[in-house]
Amino acid sequence: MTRESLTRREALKLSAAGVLAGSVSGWFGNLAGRAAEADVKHKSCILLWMNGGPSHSHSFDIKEVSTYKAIDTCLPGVQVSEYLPKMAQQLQQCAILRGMSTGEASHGRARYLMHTGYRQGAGGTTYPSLGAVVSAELGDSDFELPNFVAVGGNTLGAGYLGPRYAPLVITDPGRGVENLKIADQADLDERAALLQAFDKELETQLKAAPLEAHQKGYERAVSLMHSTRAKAFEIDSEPESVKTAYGNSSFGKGCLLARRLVEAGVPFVEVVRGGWDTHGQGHANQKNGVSNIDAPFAALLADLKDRGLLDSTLVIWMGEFGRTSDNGSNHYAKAWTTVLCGAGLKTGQVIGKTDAKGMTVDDRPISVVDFMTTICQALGIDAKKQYTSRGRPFRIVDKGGEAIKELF
Amino acid sequence: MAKSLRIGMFPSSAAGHSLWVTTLVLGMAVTARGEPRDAQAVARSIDQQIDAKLQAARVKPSPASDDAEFQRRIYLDLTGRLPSLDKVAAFIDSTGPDKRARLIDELLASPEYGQHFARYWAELLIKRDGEVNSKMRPVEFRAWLAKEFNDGKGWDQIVTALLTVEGTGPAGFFFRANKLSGERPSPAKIVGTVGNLFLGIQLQCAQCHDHPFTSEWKHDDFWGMAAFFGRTHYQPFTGSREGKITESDPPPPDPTAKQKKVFQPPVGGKIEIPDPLDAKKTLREVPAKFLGGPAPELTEKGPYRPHFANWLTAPSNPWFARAAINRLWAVFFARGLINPLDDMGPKAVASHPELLNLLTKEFQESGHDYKHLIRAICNSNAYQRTSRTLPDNRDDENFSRMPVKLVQGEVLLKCLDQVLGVEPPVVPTRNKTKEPISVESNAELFDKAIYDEDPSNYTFGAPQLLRLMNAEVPRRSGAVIARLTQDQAEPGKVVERFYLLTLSRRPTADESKELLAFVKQAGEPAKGYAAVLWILLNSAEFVANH
Repeated sequence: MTRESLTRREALKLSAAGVLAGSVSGWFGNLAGRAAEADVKHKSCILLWMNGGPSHSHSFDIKEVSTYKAIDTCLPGVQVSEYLPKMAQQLQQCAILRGMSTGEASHGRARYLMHTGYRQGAGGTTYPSLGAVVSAELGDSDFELPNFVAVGGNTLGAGYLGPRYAPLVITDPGRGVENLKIADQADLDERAALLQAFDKELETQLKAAPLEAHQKGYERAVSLMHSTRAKAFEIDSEPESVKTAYGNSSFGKGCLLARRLVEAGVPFVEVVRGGWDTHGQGHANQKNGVSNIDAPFAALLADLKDRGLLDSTLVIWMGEFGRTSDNGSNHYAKAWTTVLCGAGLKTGQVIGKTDAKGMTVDDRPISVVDFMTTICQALGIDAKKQYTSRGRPFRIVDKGGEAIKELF
Repeated sequence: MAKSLRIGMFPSSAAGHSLWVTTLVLGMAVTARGEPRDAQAVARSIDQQIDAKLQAARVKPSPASDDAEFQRRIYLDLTGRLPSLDKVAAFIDSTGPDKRARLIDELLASPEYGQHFARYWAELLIKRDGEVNSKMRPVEFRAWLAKEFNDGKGWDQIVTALLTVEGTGPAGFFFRANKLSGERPSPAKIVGTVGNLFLGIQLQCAQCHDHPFTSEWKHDDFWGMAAFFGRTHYQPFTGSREGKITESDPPPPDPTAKQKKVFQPPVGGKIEIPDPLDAKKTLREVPAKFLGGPAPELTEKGPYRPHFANWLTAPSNPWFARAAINRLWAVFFARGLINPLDDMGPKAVASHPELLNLLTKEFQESGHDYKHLIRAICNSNAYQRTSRTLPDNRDDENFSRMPVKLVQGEVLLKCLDQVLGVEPPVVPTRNKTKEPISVESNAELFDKAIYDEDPSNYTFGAPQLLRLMNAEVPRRSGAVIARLTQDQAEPGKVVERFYLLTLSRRPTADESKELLAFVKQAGEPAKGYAAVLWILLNSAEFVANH
């Protein structure tokens, strides 16, 4: 009996019994080899997205008029909110950018602007969010995990780069990827192998790219079900001490999941923490937010550093804008703060300065394109690179930006 | 003559011809203009043009599709549904020489035709813009469009109704969706959309400045067009007043209610051009002016939009019918005669210029009759070719074979419901049960195509496929398996039913043999059948419209 004369059914039986090389089918065969190459060659990025706009004057740029007290930090002369005691000890890993000046103070448009670097609707295209750009630029298309994962809420998509670079959204970090585990995996493998054979047959007849994409998609989904790396989505397997450090909040779990994914080779993870749109009881709610992020953010930086991942991982902390300094009640985009950490940047410094009320930038203003250019440079991405969409060229970051030289 | 095509003047002539409505010759039907026109003759002209180019390029076309392939394709293209199990075999087995033309007529006369094209256009007109429109559920808008299509209204009439809507009618959704924030429709956004969809051009590039990619159109041209929409605003629901789209002045403020600043529409048909660099400044004022045309006399307080709609849909405007035809062609052939569909400016080159011209002319002369042009395209040999390749036409782009499109989003979910025969389970929220199926509904999860995407783009990733593989199909297939096996039919018959139900064809001998062996090996028949149905519903062929 030659291999050619085997029916698929017989081949399946033999391979299930381990007679034929290559496992159940070609789908899983090459994964084992790949899993051995554990070294991550590219840089990674974790975006801690503070949806709704945290108040700079109640977090990293405390003013006289702020409702909270300022406390000293591990950096001489640098103070932060009294509700950031753990982060105060991590500032060696952080560059605080106090001169953000972006001008867009409407939630939706600012969220778009700070995710893409472009104004919504400009040029009649849909721009990719940062995660999609990083996924396209740094990700490996054959990587068995998704190259862009969003945790804790939806985010912006891949725009003109297309769905290949769209995020896998994890709504609840405690639950991981939905529908990934089933009771009878062996049964699924048999069906999947026959499905693959049928799809190959159709592909031979039709030779159509979309059908190839369908097949590839199923391969990746089944691979993910088999992948040992998919364990990265299971935060429960972490030691208790680590889980305690990150805390039990959804944001804390999201930060822990982000670290696990980066460690497994995922180039971009966005962790969303909402609840910053604090009108009315502005300062009380800002205090809740700031207290809530302190431990997880600090644990993430310490953990990345302990594992030797911080130099290759850029951590970005930002929202869509800041808030007025009275009591943090109103949107404010003319002067606000973001934080960049890791990635080999010159951290342990504050860049830029606002006036006594935190309402104008006195020194070192940073525009959206400056900020985006800086992120690209930190990750080793050419900000000037052009993509072509529907026959028209679009730069990753629009013209006119300069990287923040103090960081490099 | 051109004027008689305008909405409002049209029905008298239509009524006069209403006796013609029954089909005279197959493929020949009364058009929106009220005269019978021969779609088969147009189909032959299409083939002359397509075949001439193939001959010149020395590409041999693929042969005609078989009846099963054609049936599945025409159902998906005209109704967004699969043929039902009780009809699917009858068509394959029938021998009437004109059965394809009859099926095309039957589907064009079914209510699903209008619903399908309403879905297509509603997605384009009510852009799924995550920030502004995410909660907009244009059910009434779709119902209105579906009726317009099913009633055989001319495309010029439909677009005119859409652009000139006054009051509370469902057509007003278009304006409500074209806003930047708040409730006020944005003239700039409307003109961008009108340019893309009804003229097939990239006007919006000139929104902020004169643009190198569209040097034909200047900054002032864009805003001259926008001025026609300068008075259009939305008066929201307050007390006894219903929310409406209007160009009239707002009613005097209600002194008892706490009201925000009310929009005061500009007068005199002029618009201020905003400074793109500073939202608080304007650059200059320009009068309402047609693109490449005159500035019409407008009354002080409007309405301006009827002037715009008249200009847009008049036969003297070369862009309107061309854009519609190019887009319609792409609905069936996955790409237009000019691509991208919304960039047909003067520099664009058509793959088949004469074909585009003749279809445009036919469209205009038929009273912009959508059904007539669809009937013509679908009766052509070009449309009815198989999607299977010959050795040397794999990469051909001259329509030597039918390109493969994908069944996606809402249509895919509808097809799944059709096969599984049950409504999808209501997704429990996290509060109600500890183990939710998912937080995201099917409709949201599978709605992944981006605005105006190429219909052959594959948009699903792991979340969608895992949902199909491991949740939707296994959880919902019990009912249909029970239904199709309750007469104790022999396994070969059952597998054939599954094929007809899902792939609209019978299995080949090999497929049948392999699946029967699979069923037999599974032990219990129900488990084996579940595996067969799982394979078919997850197969590339199920999501392929080929």
